[in-house]
Amino acid sequence: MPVAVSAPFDNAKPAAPPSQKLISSLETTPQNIDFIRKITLLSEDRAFCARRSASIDLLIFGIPVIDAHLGGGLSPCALHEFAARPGDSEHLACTTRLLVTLLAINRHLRGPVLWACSRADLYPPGLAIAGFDPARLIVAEMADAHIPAVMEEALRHRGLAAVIGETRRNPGLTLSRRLHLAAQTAGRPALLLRRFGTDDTPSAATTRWRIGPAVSPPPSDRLAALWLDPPRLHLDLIRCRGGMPASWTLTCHDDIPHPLSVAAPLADRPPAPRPATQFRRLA
Amino acid sequence: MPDRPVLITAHRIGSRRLIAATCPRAAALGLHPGLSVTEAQARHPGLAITEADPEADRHALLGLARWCLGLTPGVALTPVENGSNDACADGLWLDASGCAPLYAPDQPAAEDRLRRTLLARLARLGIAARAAIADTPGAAHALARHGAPGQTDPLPLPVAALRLDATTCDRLDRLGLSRIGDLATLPRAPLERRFGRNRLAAGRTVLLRLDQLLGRVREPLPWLPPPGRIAARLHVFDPLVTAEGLARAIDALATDIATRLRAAGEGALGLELRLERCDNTTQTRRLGLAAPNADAAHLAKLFTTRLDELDPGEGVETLCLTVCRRARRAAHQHAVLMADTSQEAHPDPICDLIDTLSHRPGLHALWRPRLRESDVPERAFQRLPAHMPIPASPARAWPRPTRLIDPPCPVQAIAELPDAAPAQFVWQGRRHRIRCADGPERIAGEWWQRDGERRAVRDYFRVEDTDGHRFWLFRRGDGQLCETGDLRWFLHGIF
Repeated sequence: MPVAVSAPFDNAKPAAPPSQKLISSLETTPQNIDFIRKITLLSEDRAFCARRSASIDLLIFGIPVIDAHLGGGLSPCALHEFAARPGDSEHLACTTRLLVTLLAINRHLRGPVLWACSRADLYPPGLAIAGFDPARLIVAEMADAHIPAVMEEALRHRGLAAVIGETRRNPGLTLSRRLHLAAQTAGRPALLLRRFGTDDTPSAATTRWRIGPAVSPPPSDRLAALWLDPPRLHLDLIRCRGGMPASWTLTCHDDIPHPLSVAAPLADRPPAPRPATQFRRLA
Repeated sequence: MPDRPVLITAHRIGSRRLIAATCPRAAALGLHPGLSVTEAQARHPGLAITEADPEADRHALLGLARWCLGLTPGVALTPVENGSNDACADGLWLDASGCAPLYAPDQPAAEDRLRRTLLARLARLGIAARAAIADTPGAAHALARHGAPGQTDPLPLPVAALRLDATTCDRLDRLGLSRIGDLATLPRAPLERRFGRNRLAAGRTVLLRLDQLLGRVREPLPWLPPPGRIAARLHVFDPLVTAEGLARAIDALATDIATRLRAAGEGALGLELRLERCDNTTQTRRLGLAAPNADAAHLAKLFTTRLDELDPGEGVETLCLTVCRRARRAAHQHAVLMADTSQEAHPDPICDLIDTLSHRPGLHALWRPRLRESDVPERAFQRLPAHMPIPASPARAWPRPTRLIDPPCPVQAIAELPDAAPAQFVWQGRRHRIRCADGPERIAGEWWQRDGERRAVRDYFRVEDTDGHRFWLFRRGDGQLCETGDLRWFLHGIF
């Protein structure tokens, strides 16, 4: 017996999506019913997300290029994963800087922020420099294995602006899916920081980022080597549901209204290394 | 006082009207509780009869029990177990362990002295009482009711002193066992077969009563809570061994506690759960709450999340949940009634979260930072308990790293000049060549904190290596005077 499923796709066009046509020709075998159920759940999930996104302010970077690439900003009711770039230290200093900057920019995220971590190297005065009020921070130190569960528990409570968890490993597909669902139900972001970015096991995070430092512009003369330009970050969006991967280099400023800007891609590049042959010819 | 009438109180059992209690003169006339009122009236016309009021009796006894709390810390009502009405109590148990020396220091017969003090005080209140001090509640009960004043050995007492009902006493009498001593010397197995726990009803458990009297089995007593204390107690008939059973019992206790807290307009700040197991051991769990809370589900959850740490052993027979600390709850309306659900109106969700998290297994610390007026990086913030309100922090001007390496990690650095920024350093086996640096930011020791910091100086440099990593390095010493530091380099933070 053929089944017709009218899936409430959020991006429903006047014409029926191709998957509907496919489903309508399916027989009601147990496998097919399972498939149909999955499709329906998925589309309901997307519709739910869309409804949420329409009513809740997005998590913006404050940079038109990035926000436009993300379709307005990051979804505030989803799991986002941030990791250090390969070869970076496990202290996640750049990632921390970017996250607290985001929390400071997005003033619609009010209330305290829970930071679950297994090592206590977070330095609140440094977070204050990035514009984030340390009084909003609640730090929960615990063993690494407990962090996803604590994040899920915290997402169930009202009153938090965001829940941040620092884990050593990837929590895996099941746990990240749970976190994503908890964030979706709670309507507030779950931000997962991973100490090691090399592990590419699947995850249910809506976006996955790799963040590392970028070299600041070269000193033009000897005097300029005695002071530091604003720090630069290198952002890789390696996975984005419904979007394309991308990379940016950002400059972090200390002024609060616009703390981030895209570094000019062409200016201030490090000089190209000279080919070694030149030296030989000179000799 | 011959002019006072002979008084009995009467109560109705089924269709019969029986004597509930008699005054001493009525007892002298041969009237005793259990006799029918008609027969008593036939024997002695002109008796004054009033209706028995067990509720008022109990109330008066409770009042007396509270008065006794001034003498000993533990007071319990003794239920009448051989009587017809289980709810009424006719005596008190006082836990006098360690109390006797307070009444008669350095005297050998201190306990007797305590007993006589108690009786004298009661007599002054117009209460004729009998008292006995013994090692077990059962023995004290038996001696007070059946023993001679000053008697300490319960074994010569009649078997009725074992809190047995009349049928069992008759049965024992017919077997020739009239004294407790006779029972105690008998082999247990035949006795158990005849009067065993499983064969007969609970009230007839001869062996249990005997064991309780001799101290072989501990008898849990329903201790009165101190006045004003909010506590809930649950005795279970079948000892609890499963987590589900314990969770249900804790739920019931928490509901009771929360109702009473709400009625008082208060919330619990500290709770204590005591589990009394069958094998005479007690386990106690204490916990504190971030804010006064009277939500039954929340209170119960704090205990049930860590239920696996409790060891029920052979079974838990008594649970007791006590509010150790409490405070007035800030009045707030329910979220449903509130038009705007702003954060400021609801401080509770965060407190709930803090409670839940702080009782989670695996948690090492839960804190909120408070920035302090100190330039020494380690002292620039303070970890405060998460439930304390933190004022908004003042803005800072000096660049500080987002991650602090505490204690500072010694690194091997090479600087061109003793007071210049390093050109390269080695950390965790990796060489970092420095492209540009900013500094020094000189931070002097806080001499008012420690004597060793009187001359200490640290010169901090922000450096960027060739990969763009930014580090916070410092050199101990100012590079000129050797007492300010030994010129070693440390990594203190990462930007």
